[in-house]
Amino acid sequence: MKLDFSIVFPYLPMFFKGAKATIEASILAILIGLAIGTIVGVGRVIPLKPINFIAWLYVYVIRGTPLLVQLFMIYFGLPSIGVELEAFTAGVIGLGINSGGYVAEIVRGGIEAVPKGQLEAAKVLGLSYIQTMWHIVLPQAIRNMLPALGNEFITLVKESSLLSTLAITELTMVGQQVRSVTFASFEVFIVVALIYLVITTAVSTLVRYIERKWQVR
Amino acid sequence: MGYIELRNVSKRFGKVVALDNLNLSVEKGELLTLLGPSGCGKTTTLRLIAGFMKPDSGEIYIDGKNALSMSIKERKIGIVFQNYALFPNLSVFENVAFGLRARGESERKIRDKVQQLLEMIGIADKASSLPSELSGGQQQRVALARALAIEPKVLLLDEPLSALDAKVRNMLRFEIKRIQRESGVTTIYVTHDQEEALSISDRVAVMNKGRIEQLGAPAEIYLNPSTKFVADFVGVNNFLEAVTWNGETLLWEGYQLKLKTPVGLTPNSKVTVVIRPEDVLLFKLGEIPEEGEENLFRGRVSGKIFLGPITRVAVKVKEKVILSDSISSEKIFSLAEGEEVMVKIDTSKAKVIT
Ligand SMILES: Nc1ncnc2c1ncn2[C@@H]1O[C@H](COP(=O)(O)OP(=O)(O)OP(=O)(O)O)[C@@H](O)[C@H]1O
Ligand SMILES: [Mg+2]
Repeated sequence: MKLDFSIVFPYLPMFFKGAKATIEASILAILIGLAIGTIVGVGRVIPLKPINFIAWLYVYVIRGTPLLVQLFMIYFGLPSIGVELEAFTAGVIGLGINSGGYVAEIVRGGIEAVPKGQLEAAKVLGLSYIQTMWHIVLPQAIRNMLPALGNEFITLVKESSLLSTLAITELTMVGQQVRSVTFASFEVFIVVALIYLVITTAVSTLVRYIERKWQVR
Repeated sequence: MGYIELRNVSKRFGKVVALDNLNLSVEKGELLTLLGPSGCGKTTTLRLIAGFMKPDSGEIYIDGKNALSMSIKERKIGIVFQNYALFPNLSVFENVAFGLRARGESERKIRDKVQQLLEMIGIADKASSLPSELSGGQQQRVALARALAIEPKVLLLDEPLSALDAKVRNMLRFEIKRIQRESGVTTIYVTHDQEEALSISDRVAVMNKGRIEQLGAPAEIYLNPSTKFVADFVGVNNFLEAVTWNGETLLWEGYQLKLKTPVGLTPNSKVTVVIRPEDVLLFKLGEIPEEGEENLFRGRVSGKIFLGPITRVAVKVKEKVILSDSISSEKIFSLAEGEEVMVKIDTSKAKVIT
């Protein structure tokens, strides 16, 4: 068998447009995931039982159900209660909500890794709980969390391929479109895979760079 | 009423009784040590005073006010932990400044106060270092400065030196004492090291099983332990289980043991005689006449440890091991394991516990 990539070349601009959509969706979803994850993760550790429960439930549901089902609920399900979202918006929100569940666990782990003695030291020095969190716990927790967050971001980039099921023309969707006209399935998806690899490598390089910068401080 | 006062304080964790009707009164400005074995409730006592948890029953007063109705912040407590618990993301300066910032002091006051504290603890040159760039001893100095910065009413130190090596420990011990004396802050110091407790404290409270067994000046605790537990914990001791024969004679392992001061007990009562190793003298056979001497027994050397200026020898008298401390000398060095020796017990400082 012979692979002929020249068939694919004319479609490269399409691939790049798809990659751009993938990157955009990923970045937006990461930001949403970080915001939700921070709130929910903190919600799991603060000394307020009802909040702890709600945060726990969020993580439990998100991590216990498939991302694809979550995306379908948002895109196909919400309109039945009158909330109609554009495919891209629905996809980004779905990805972000999903990632939030995983980020929450990372945030919780990062916070709990800060030695309890420091919290008590801050308390006797007169800091409120929120001040302690902000000045002492979170700066350290973020450093503890970085490697796990890096993994989560990479996972999210890969899972964004599911957005193709909502008819969003991100990278995987572009692959399917090009395949349907060229029939060069293997070549097409090798190119798609390589572009994903470039994106995920960029993410892990960036995270490692940030990690190193933080280490010095 | 003491500056810090605990009245009938009890605390349980599930089935574990951590504190059992504890009563403690700490005078203003003194350094009181809680000395006791692991699990006796020392840390629990400090945590209750600091307000990290509430007692199941009993009352706690700080400076005449009911501490149980005060927040942690209001109690104005300085605390130093065994593992320093410095904030690793902040510089030495910021660590020490932290409590002052939290209390909204002016930048100028903060700068002066922190500088003064760093000088007092001897690490002014490290102000901009991160904790991770300091040695353990230096980190603990910073922790002390951080605790003192808010001019606490009470300073609580929970085994502050136990993570450090012996040399640093000995040095810091006296610095803590000096700083405590200079600042005059009422201090509770927790340790399970009797030497540390005896060397730095104004008073020592020996704790056992959630209670205070004895409270007194170091010399009093050392020389006059009121219970067997205290005697055992505070020093290396020999415990001779004996029965009374008459006023000043006891029977121990079939031997007569003469006391210098009579005990007012009916004959045949069980007692424990506490003898310090330095009051057990060793003689080679033939070195002193065996007849006519009081409290002289024949034994066999069963072990020897060289402790620098002193050598501790274990001698078996019948089946009982007795420890004897002597000035290290040729005579002591030459003792061989299994060698027969004469043991003379000086009972003038013996403590009889009933
Ligand atoms: N948070 C807790 N949960 C359950 N049990 C506890 C807790 N804190 C202390 N205990 C128990 O209470 C008892 C007293 O503990 P505490 O920490 O006060 O001892 P300590 O004298 O400080 O001992 P150490 O010298 O080992 O530090 C112990 O039996 C301990 O296991
Ligand atoms: Mg303890």
